[in-house]
Amino acid sequence: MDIATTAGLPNGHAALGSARRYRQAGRWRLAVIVLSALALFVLAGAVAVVGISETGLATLLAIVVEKLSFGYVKANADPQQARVLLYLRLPRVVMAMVAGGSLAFAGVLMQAITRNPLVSPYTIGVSSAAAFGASVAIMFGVGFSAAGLYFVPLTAFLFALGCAVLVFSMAWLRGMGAQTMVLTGIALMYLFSAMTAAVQFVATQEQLARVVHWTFGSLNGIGWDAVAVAGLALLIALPLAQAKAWQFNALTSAGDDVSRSLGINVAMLRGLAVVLSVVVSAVVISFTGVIGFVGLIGPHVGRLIIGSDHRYLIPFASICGAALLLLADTLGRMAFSPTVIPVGIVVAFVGVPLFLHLILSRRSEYFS
Amino acid sequence: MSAHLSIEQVGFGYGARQVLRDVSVELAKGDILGLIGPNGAGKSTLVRIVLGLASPSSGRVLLDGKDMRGMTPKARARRIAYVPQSSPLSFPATVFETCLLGRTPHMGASPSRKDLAVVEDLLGRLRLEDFAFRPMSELSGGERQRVMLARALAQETDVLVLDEPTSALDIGNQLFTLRVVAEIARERGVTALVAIHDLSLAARFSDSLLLLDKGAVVGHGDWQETLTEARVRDVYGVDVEIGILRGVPVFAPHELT
Repeated sequence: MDIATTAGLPNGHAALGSARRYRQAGRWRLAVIVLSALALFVLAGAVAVVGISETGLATLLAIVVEKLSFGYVKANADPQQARVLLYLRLPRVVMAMVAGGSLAFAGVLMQAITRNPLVSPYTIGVSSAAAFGASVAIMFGVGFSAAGLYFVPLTAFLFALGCAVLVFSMAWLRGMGAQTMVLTGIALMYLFSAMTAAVQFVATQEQLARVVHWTFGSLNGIGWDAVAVAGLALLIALPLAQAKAWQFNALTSAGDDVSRSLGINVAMLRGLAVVLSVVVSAVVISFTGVIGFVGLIGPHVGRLIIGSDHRYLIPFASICGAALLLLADTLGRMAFSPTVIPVGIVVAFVGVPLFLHLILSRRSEYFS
Repeated sequence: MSAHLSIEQVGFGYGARQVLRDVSVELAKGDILGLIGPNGAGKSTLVRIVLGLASPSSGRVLLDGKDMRGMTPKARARRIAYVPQSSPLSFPATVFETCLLGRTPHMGASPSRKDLAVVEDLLGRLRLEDFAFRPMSELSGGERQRVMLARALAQETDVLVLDEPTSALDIGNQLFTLRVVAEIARERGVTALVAIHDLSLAARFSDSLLLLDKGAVVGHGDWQETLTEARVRDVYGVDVEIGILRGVPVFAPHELT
């Protein structure tokens, strides 16, 4: 198996010069990215109207156009329907994509700088720290609600950031080595999980329910404010990481010493990747609660399909993560309607079979 | 005549724990210097210092008479390339992708057509064209070593530093690898520093040898003067018999002393 077949190109091009074949594979990968992005948007539109009676894609488009043209173009839609779509359904759908994309994006960066396929925002302690922050806010937040609605996400975010600073500075002391980051992250993950459990011991029934719900991860009640903050973070982080994509290639496949001998400032690259991945994933988790799986398998699904070149992997894994979370949330909404199953639970049910299928059916050398 | 690469009184370590002491050596353009010595003699440390991966606690490394510490990382990467002993295999990368990394100091965000052409040529030269789109993990040790050499050559530098390039290879691949290095050194005037354990290969392929023991230079010159039977006994603690078979120096270890 080679990169050409990875991107869907048939075999039998041995006669081609390797430079030409490499360029051809690059064009295929680009096409795969563009097509999957288009497919994602179509999927998002379809999923947005599913489950609302007598609403089709045309209605959705009309309503969105009306809103974007400030009422200049009339949609002639039922106002009740329009409200459900605009303020309940659409933010939820967009947030599913932003959250899935952000977590997969963060996973790609974290795996690249640690050269470890087991690392994700979850395994490096960020999610557990956010969960602990949220539990503390839910437990002791009464009376401190100066930040109002945003008190829980804000506390969660600060704890996630604090955890990252701890991991980062420990690794800094030891020369930004990959092993130190992984081990410190795992240790902190256990610590924060234990502290969350301890907090749950002293919680009331109502608080406990809220804490547990938060640790499941859910898109219930997500509004445009959350979408705006998380979306902006991702839109800023993506191009910054993309600009360093080639350097991530060197770091993952050549190692620290060779990367440095290629002229790359490895410590700076690690620092940038840590900041981008932690901020992006912490923002998402603070609004949605702990969604664990996407950050781990988004990068792997992307790599299995499009290869390890980060110039393609960074955008494509983000698209995969977005699609995965969108599908999972839709299933969670539909399966036992009107009961909504939290997306953090469903994503494992959707993701694990998909993941196992990819491992068994695709590249045998992948997990060598 | 001024030296191309000169290592001037380089020391490394603190207090009683001196890994390197006052190491000086000069290499002319196109020279191959074999860096030999027992395990722990300081070969790897010297290699890292020349590459700029470690800073010496005293002394300096000059390239064309200029202190290398004054160079930016990118400028240095255009002058010195590194062939490591091994490479991580964490995520699948193809041979072509791996070689192309050698073009990093010459390119912007993405490789140009010229970068791709350089890699295609090198893959042919190192007999890797049939593996170009295989993942590194499917390659044998010898093939992998050739890919790392190709990556370093793709950097198109005037100095090459190799750390034990042959220690994991069979004799066929050992000969092939060192022969390519010798050819490149002659053709392009590339100066090479090769840390190597095998005394026969070191003697055969180097223009001169530098013998380190406990961080200090104990021998320097052509192989006949550097590796006498008495000195090998002193440094390695092995009784050797040195012979020359059809022009090839051979070191037969007999007994530990």
